[in-house]
Amino acid sequence: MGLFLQLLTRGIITGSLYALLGVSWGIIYNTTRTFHFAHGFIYTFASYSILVFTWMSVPLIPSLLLGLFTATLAGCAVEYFAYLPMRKKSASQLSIFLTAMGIMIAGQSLIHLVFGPDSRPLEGFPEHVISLGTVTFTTVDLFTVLLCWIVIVCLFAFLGHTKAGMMIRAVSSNPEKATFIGIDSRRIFVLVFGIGSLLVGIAAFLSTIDKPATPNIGLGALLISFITVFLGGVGRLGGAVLGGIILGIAESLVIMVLPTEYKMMVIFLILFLVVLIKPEGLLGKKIA
Amino acid sequence: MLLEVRNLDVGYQGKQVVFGASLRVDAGEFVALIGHNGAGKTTLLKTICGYLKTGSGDVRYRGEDIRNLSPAVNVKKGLVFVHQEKSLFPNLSVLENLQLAAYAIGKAYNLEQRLKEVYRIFPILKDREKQMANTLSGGQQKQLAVGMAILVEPQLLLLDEPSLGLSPNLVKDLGNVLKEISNMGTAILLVEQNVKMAISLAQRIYVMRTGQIILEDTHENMMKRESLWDLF
Ligand SMILES: Nc1ncnc2c1ncn2[C@@H]1O[C@H](COP(=O)(O)OP(=O)(O)OP(=O)(O)O)[C@@H](O)[C@H]1O
Ligand SMILES: [Mg+2]
Repeated sequence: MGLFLQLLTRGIITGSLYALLGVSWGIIYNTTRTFHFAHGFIYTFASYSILVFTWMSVPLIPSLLLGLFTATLAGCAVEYFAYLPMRKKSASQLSIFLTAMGIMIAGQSLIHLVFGPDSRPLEGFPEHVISLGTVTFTTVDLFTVLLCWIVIVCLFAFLGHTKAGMMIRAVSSNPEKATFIGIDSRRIFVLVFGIGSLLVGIAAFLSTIDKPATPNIGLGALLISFITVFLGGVGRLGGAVLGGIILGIAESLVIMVLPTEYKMMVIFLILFLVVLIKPEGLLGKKIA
Repeated sequence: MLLEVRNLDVGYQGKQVVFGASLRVDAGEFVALIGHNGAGKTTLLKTICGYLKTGSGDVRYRGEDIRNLSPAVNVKKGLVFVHQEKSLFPNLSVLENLQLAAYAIGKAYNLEQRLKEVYRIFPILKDREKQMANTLSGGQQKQLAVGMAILVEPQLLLLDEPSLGLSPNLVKDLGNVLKEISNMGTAILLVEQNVKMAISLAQRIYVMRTGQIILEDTHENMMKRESLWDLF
């Protein structure tokens, strides 16, 4: 029982982070239907940006804000300078996907080249152990869960109650109609890439205060991002949140029966089973 | 002249479907364009509003060449196109759909007052304000689509088969609403399969067959015709 509770707690912590990763990729995919493989690079980029600012002796919080800002710009730039011109030329989904993958690989190599393969810890965040009965976690964990949910709630409030949020939902629900009523979908796309990149930057920050960054952290984050979206259901951002929680808890509890090396396999197995039974994902609607 | 289309050719991936189409709509005029399935009516409307690009020919709106303008720009000029199908945002509420139409234009509307006006014309939308658009009935969805268009006070309304899928009763209601919109000074270019409805409403009628406009006549002359079958 004690072990179960401990693992469940871990699962919720991981799941919160996965939910954040899920919405960060999901808002981009749901709106633009671009398989933004380079999201993984933005994640790594955000992490290293924050690190670079701290190395320049900028305090942690300003470093975080500056890092998030550059990551957001980088995300918008990928859309504006790579995907947008391709879409304009009616490039196929596949060629856009391959470009995205190219950016991901090139970006990752560049970071490797500049910063080397070493792990780079992000220091300065107070880490203490908190024990509640048999369950222990750290201040970093607590902060992670809190920040993830605050950010997710803010995102949903933004989408639900602001003009820009409404336009994003409009473009994702009927892009053609959006054009006809006068919404400039190109601007909405750039906006959405900015938001998604900001969110993934926050996720990168949270994981870097927990585990040191390496040039290849982005791939794992990317996999989780889109698996949660397809698990939860495309077109429904709430699905990504649910998918993230389920994956986080599942991957944590699985340790009770399997060695941790099987983590990624279990995640793909869950996705496979769900998609087999309900191809549109847990909360997704059947496409007519 | 509000809208003038001259010798318009349009095609998809090299396959031409509209051949040298010419038509005009004067300010405040009610014009209908009828023709069989696949004649090219939708293609023509989509070209006028800027969604499709022309091969050759002229599209002038208020005297300005608008061939290279996007629908988003044209909407802001008062040229509003209402789609044949999928003409709303299914996952958004009725009210949000209407609000968006105004927000997208970005003009400082008196939104409250415009909403009131739309609700006066389509009272059912007021009752369904909070409901998701995709849960509306077919007829209500058409009303919402037209409602979104008139919310922004267009000068020229391009309507693509608004009567599609409506029962005879609703078609009549819709006809009355279009008449009212027209009487308020909005010019309408109505594309219809429902020939009777189109002819009874419009002041001038164009007939389109396999990509060409083969006839233009007045309401009076069209009403006098024994049969319309020879046109199709
Ligand atoms: N996106 C497209 N790609 C290729 N061909 C198209 C496309 N859209 C329409 N067409 C073709 O262009 C022709 C005209 O189609 P259009 O939709 O303009 O007809 P319509 O008069 O509106 O018909 P309906 O009354 O059935 O709506 C048709 O032969 C159609 O198959
Ligand atoms: Mg049509």
